Amino acid sequence: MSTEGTGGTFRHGVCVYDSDRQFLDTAVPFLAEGLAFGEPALAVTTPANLELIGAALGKRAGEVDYAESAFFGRRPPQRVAAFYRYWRTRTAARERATIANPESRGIPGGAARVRILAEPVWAGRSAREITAWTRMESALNVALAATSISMICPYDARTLGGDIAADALCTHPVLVTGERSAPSAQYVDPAAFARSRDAGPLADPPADAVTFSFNGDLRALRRFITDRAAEYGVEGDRAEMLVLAVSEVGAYLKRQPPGGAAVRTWEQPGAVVCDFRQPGGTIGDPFLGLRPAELEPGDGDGLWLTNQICDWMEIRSDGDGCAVQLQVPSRHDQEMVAQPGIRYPA
Amino acid sequence: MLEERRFAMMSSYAVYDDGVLRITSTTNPPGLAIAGEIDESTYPGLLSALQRSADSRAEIHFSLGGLKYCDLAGLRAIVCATGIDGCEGSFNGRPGHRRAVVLHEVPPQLITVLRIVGWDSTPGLTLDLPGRGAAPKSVGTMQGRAVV
Repeated sequence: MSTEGTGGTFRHGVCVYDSDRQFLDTAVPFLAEGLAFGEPALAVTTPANLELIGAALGKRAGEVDYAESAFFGRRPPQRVAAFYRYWRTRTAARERATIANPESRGIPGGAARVRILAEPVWAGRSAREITAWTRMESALNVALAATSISMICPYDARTLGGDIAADALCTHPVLVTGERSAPSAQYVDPAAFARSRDAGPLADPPADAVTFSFNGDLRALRRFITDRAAEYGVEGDRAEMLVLAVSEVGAYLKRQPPGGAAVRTWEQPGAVVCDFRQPGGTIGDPFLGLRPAELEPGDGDGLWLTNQICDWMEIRSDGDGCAVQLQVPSRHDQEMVAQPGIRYPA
Repeated sequence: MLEERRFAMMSSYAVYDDGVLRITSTTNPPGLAIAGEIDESTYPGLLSALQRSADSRAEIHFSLGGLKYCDLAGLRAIVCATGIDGCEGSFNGRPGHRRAVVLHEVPPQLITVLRIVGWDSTPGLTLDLPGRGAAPKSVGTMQGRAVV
């Protein structure tokens, strides 16, 4: 889905707080005002903060949609999709209600707003994950640009390490303190920010990686990855989804001159990896695979699906060519055994 | 009773067959049985079969039990047989002509994809899922307050 020129009104602010009081000073008026306007309001934060909000809002708390941060989008691409899905379903419900009752509350002449309080989880994350989540915070400004979401992201300075709070000023165009908003002077253009975070090389395939020469024959690519999945013990639905993820990457690269790619697979602790290298190829869009797919076709829709299926999808492009590297859980993963819907909607 | 109803589609003739994708016209209920693989190489064949079969109908049934692979674009074309707004550029049916689309014997991974992308709640689309009783059930989007 294209997000440029679609007239969206996405608003994205950060609130760095260092006490429960400061958190509530921003969160409660933001959510309460949404309820007063009849706007859908969603709080995605820690269990402790959800309890604080519930106590502060009193009876009105029952009108707020909520989710624990750790379970609302397990990886950054799923997080973006979860926000988008919430916005789409809530605005669609509102449209239906307005059609049924034109006198019902709504904003005359304007798109209905949807409010989301969205606190990322940072504790316990690896450096690689922190980079991915920080990159996502910046990419939200593009991926959700066509929506009418007002989003405030609380960051708990009491628990943040490293450069996380400083980066937040670069990834959010607005700073929120209490009920006051101001432009962030440190805000960085999302494309430039993404490129700065994509500077590091992808992991090199190990010497024992299995190689396939992809010449544009997608059926041959699917046979290859089906065989590899079986070899790695990835079976059933997981194998089918891996084949889909890999075939969509192949279809995308096939359309990019000069087409074709060297495909390598290997297993590492916790993951099966599939790596595409296309000498001479170029991928210029840093948000490829993050814009939600819609019924109206958009460039990179297939890679959006790949991004939803995989634990990781990383893309690099430089003077030598382009590369796409995917990871899915290995056969040793027990999360999907314990909770089948944890990665995909059940 | 369920077994009796599932899936008694009467196939008649092949409307497309390139050795990879085979699409057969069905008469009872009226629709298409789609088998094989849908990717960019077979996508034009899928589109032409959809256009020829669906254009004038108010309701169409697709049997997907023989579908071994279907990419996102192919799945979109099938969903867009509903004629819902927003499908412009995908399935080029008669503009503004809405129709009911019922999917039978949907492979599990396609159900997963429909849910990931949110097309399972497309107005006019019904998934005839196993264990849901004899009649196809419309898939709704009613949500509780928790949105996990």
